[in-house]
Amino acid sequence: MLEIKNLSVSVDNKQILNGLNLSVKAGEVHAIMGPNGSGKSTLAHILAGKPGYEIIGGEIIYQGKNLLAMEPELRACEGIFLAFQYPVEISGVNNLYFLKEAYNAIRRHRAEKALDAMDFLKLAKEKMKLVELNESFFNRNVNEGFSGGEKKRNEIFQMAILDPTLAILDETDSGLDIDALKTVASGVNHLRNEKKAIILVTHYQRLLDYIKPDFVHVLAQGKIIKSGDATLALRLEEEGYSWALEKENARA
Amino acid sequence: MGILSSIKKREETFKERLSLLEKKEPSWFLEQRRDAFKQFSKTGLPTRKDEEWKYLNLSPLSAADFGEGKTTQKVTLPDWPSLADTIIITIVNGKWDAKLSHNLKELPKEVVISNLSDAMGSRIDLKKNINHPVADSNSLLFLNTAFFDCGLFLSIPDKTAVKKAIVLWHIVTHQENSLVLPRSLITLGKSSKLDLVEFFMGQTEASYLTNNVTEIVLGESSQLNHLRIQDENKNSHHFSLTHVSQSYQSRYTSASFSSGAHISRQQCHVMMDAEKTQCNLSGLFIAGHNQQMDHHVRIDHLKPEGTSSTLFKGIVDGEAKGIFNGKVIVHPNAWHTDAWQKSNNLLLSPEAEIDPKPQLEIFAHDVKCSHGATVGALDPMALFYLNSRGISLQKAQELLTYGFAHEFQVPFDWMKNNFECFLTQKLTGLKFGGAYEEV
Ligand SMILES: Nc1ncnc2c1ncn2[C@@H]1O[C@H](COP(=O)(O)OP(=O)(O)O)[C@@H](O)[C@H]1O
Ligand SMILES: [Mg+2]
Repeated sequence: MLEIKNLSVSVDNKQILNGLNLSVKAGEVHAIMGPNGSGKSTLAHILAGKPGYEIIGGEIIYQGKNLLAMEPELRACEGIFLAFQYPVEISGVNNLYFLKEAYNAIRRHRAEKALDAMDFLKLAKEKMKLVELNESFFNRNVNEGFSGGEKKRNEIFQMAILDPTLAILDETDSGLDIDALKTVASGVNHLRNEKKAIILVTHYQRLLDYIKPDFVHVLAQGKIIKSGDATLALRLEEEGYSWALEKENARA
Repeated sequence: MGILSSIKKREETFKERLSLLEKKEPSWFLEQRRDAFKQFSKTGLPTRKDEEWKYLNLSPLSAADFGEGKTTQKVTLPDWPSLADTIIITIVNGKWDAKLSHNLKELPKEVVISNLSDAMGSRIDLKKNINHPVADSNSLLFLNTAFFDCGLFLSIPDKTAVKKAIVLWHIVTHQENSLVLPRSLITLGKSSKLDLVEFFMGQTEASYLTNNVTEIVLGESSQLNHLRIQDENKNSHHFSLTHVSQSYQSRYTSASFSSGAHISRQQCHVMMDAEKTQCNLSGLFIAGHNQQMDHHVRIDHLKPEGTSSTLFKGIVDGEAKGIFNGKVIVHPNAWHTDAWQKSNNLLLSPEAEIDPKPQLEIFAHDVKCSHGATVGALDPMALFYLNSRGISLQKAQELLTYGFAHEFQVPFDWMKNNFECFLTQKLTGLKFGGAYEEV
């Protein structure tokens, strides 16, 4: 589904990714871990199409298409979803109205009929139960004045509605108490099936107790320096990133 | 050549008009007309040399003259669903057309709606309510006073709360270079209440010039909620003066929306000449393509314990130019005044220009006043957030602009949904820095 080959990226003349490779197939869940500032959010943003990055090398193929040539809205229409590490507050824009616009834009792209306000409300009410947000969040401005946990739940709510093929969650677990964490995890597990893929960017092994990954990768020094199965996350938790880094540097 | 540029033509036209009015209007008002004519002849239209007019280019106006409408043209009433239950007074090319009114019978009997010329003939007391001197746009007031035809007088008696809103539906059907001079005097008696809408629009593509004057006199403890919508065609010019005089404990709430006309300048001047008056002005303007839009607000706090607020939001795109000039003057006796003024603006294109100028002059002690202005652009992070959910760039920009505009609210609940649809529609016309097609 997703093939990242030798990706190198810089921002403001500062190189952040340096020959990163990653291959994700349908049905898989990949966890990406790594120290602060190692480029995890940068990778997530590039997958979603955030402007401002300079691609200095490599390519990304998504479902056989050159992802880097696609506008962000087209990527979303083609099934990519990013749950932001820092969801943006948008004043004056109604949360549910925004989501209806997004949902219908994606439906129209798939040549499906747009839902009217009534039918969309029905869908929203159903999906809302999944993330345990109450309906008062429908009529608030997008993320405005939401607590950290509410913002993350709102991201998962959006994901549940938009039903992506490739979901990227950027530290959705950070700052959540255990109940919120379970809710987020159940939202993700709900999405999980053999046609979809999920990339979880996380700092903590904790989330992986609830969402079992097929692969765990360590991102450091601008690339994936180590990959393994779920046990790698436990090892990282015990020994820290320095352990993985030392091994990588010894190899180099 | 039109009356604005040819002195000879102007004098002939004025004589002709006056001779028709002599039988109808009282001598005190004819005197005011003559005086206004003299003054206008002396000053002419403002030019960029006038400090308060320096941002506007008025040279295209010199051809303006009184035009003829195509009498066969059908005039349409507003298609806003929320206006179906209002009282509509239709003013075509500056003249009230009684045949085109709507729901007039539902007004309380004591409410007076008449031709202003006739009303002045029978009521000497109107003398003190008309032709208030105004800051900065006297020459346009003179032009209107000298030449307006009939005018409209609306009077709400004491202790009358008018349940249905009254809509002054101003439309223009005249041809190229027509000069349209609507004139209204609106008085509210003690403890009366009114919802008023002034709606200006062209039902022609011609480049006409509207020069409107609305004078409002608020009696003790009266309340006026006033919405102004300026949606003239994009070839036209729109000038307007709203003058408000407030009495003890009266409350004036005004919301002004503009998106029409090629060149426009709208001035609102509120005289808070009594204690405990309250005045809340808000505005939203959307200027795109090559529009020039100027809003002048002036509030005079003359007596103690007045409260005023002014919030104007400007959205400027293309090569358009927006101007906000607000002046709050707290006079020496106006202690315990509470006044704030804000001008927030959104620049959508690198070629667009906005000149916000909030000013505060305080001559009294013990007052609470503040003012400020901001100019910003759309937040790129918010744009990306919307795009990443599948929303197109155009739509995302419209949504964020809507979010910016949303703070502006019409002063009537019954119109909120309808206005939101109207606003959303207006935003779809913006290009967000892209090129506008020539019309
Ligand atoms: N817009 C930017 N301009 C300059 N540096 C940036 C920008 N965005 C990210 N960086 C830098 O890139 C590095 C990687 O950041 P990020 O991808 O957010 O890391 P992570 O998510 O792994 O903590 C950091 O050193 C950060 O400071
Ligand atoms: Mg990050």
